[in-house]
Amino acid sequence: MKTAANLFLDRTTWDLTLQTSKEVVDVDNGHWDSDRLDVVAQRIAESLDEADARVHHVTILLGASLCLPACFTCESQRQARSAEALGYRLEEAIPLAAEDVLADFQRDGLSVFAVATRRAPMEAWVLALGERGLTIDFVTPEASLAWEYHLGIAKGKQHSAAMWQTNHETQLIEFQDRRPIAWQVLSNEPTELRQHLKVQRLGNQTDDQPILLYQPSKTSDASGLGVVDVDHSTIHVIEGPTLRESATKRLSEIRAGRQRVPFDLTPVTGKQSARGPLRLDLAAFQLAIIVLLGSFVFSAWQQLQRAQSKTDQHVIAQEEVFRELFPESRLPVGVLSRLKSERGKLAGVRGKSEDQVDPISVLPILHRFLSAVPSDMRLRIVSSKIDGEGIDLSGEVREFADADRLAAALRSAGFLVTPPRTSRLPDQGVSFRLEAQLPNEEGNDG
Amino acid sequence: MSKNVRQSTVLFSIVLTALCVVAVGLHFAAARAETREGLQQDDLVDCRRMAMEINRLRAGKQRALLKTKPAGELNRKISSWAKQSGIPADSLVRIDPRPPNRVGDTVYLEQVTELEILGSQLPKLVELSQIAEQAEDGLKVSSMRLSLPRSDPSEQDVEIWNVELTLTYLIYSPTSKRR
Repeated sequence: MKTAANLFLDRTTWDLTLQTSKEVVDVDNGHWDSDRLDVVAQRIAESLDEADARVHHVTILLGASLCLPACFTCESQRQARSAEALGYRLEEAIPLAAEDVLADFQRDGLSVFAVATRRAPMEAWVLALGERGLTIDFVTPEASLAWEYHLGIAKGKQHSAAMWQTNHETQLIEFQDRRPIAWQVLSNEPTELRQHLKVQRLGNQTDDQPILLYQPSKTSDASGLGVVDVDHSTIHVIEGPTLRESATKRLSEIRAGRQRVPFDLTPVTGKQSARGPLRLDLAAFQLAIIVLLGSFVFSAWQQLQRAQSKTDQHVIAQEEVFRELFPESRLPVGVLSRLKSERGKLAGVRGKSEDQVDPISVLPILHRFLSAVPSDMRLRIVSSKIDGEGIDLSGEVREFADADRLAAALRSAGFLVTPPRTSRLPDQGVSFRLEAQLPNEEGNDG
Repeated sequence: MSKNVRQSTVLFSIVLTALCVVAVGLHFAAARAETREGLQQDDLVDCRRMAMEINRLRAGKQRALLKTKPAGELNRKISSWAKQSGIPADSLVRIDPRPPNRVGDTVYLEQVTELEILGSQLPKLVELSQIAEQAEDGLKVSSMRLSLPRSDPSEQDVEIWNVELTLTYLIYSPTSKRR
């Protein structure tokens, strides 16, 4: 068990102890009142810090003077199950409004045993300690822990009540079927105590059962109470733990998770919960935020890595494309722009001409011209010029009609031929000149 | 508030701030990386398309040069082609390479070389033209001017011609403006 702090509160005093699994060590004590609660809380925090800086959890154990017990019977099971309804039933048994108290209940059918404490002082305590970093595990009556511990160790003993005596008072808890039905604080004065027990026994149906009186040792002054019959009732003195020892033992069991808090009077303040769980919730919330952000960071990092990896793959693939095309060339910085440049060059050198500027070879034109000239015609060519547009031809024929015949033959071969200009030569024959052009689309296509 | 609580709060704030900064930084870096990845993927698609076009163009016939031919190289080739086509060396009287001229507002230059051959038969001239066009990618005989020699044709056994041939190269030379 980890070290934990117990703060025992009474109406005007406080007592701070540190509890481990082996021992309970007194740390500090003093007086308190509502007006100087901050000072007291600061002192408690400092004392704890000095005693063991690791301890931040405190259990507040209320003395009998701060508790208001009550026992009542509900009208229905529904009422017994409703905490709100029980609160109002409690109002009938104690002199405080339900809103002003913190209460917890133990039910046995319709029978309910309640313990309450004033709300305002407890809230002030929880707030003051909480502001100093101390988490209140729970607030519970010290005596309730003691009698729960007693019921645990006295299973085989028939008894109707248990008593713990201190220097100032005697606490009496009555049981019915091992459940508390009354909690009283009595004077230690023997006569008064006997009288009370006598009255108590008269109304008790289980008067044949003894009352167990816990005392640290039998040698102590049990006779102060008068360990004698009190009108046929017997008080059995048990050499056992004091009220506080019983309470702290029960507390150990609760902290170990073996038992539950019998009466939880822990307030929930607006500023800070006194309960450990909310404190834990805050830490869990902080952890959740960090985990959430951490997962977001991890996700973004993975996204970044994935994108970078894909980018690298694309770059490598581009470089492979370039190396396949130009195995001898050095890898350029911008592969795509280099490929565009190379494609542009190749399109200019080997692609189709968009500008239609390609020179046209005269050989097909010459071939077409020579094929078109009638084979039986006597023709003398004086000069000719052949280029991409066609043929400019000067020559001599025998008759004017021969020139026209030549023009017609060229037209048949697909040339666009102007009417030949002819003139009779002085000696014999006719000179002519004609221009034969290729249609535009053929000329351009070469 | 105790010292420990204050310390844990400060620590939480520092961790939270650091994580926020890292998260925001990584988020923007990842967004930039994804944009870059998208661009590189587009580039890869373009690269593959360019490669296909380059391979297709490489299979096509060359119709232009990337640079001008040195005059000496062309002279040697023309002499060789004339010899192959049976034209006597003394018939080739002129080889006249002209400086390249841009063809209109295009990405091409035209390099013209004029030849003058005297007293050659037409079949040999045609053969010379065919050899030249087949031997040189992008070379075309773009013009042929035939004329009869001044001597009396009746004195000759075979038909011979004086000829001026124009050989034209196209050179791909884009200007920065057209690029």
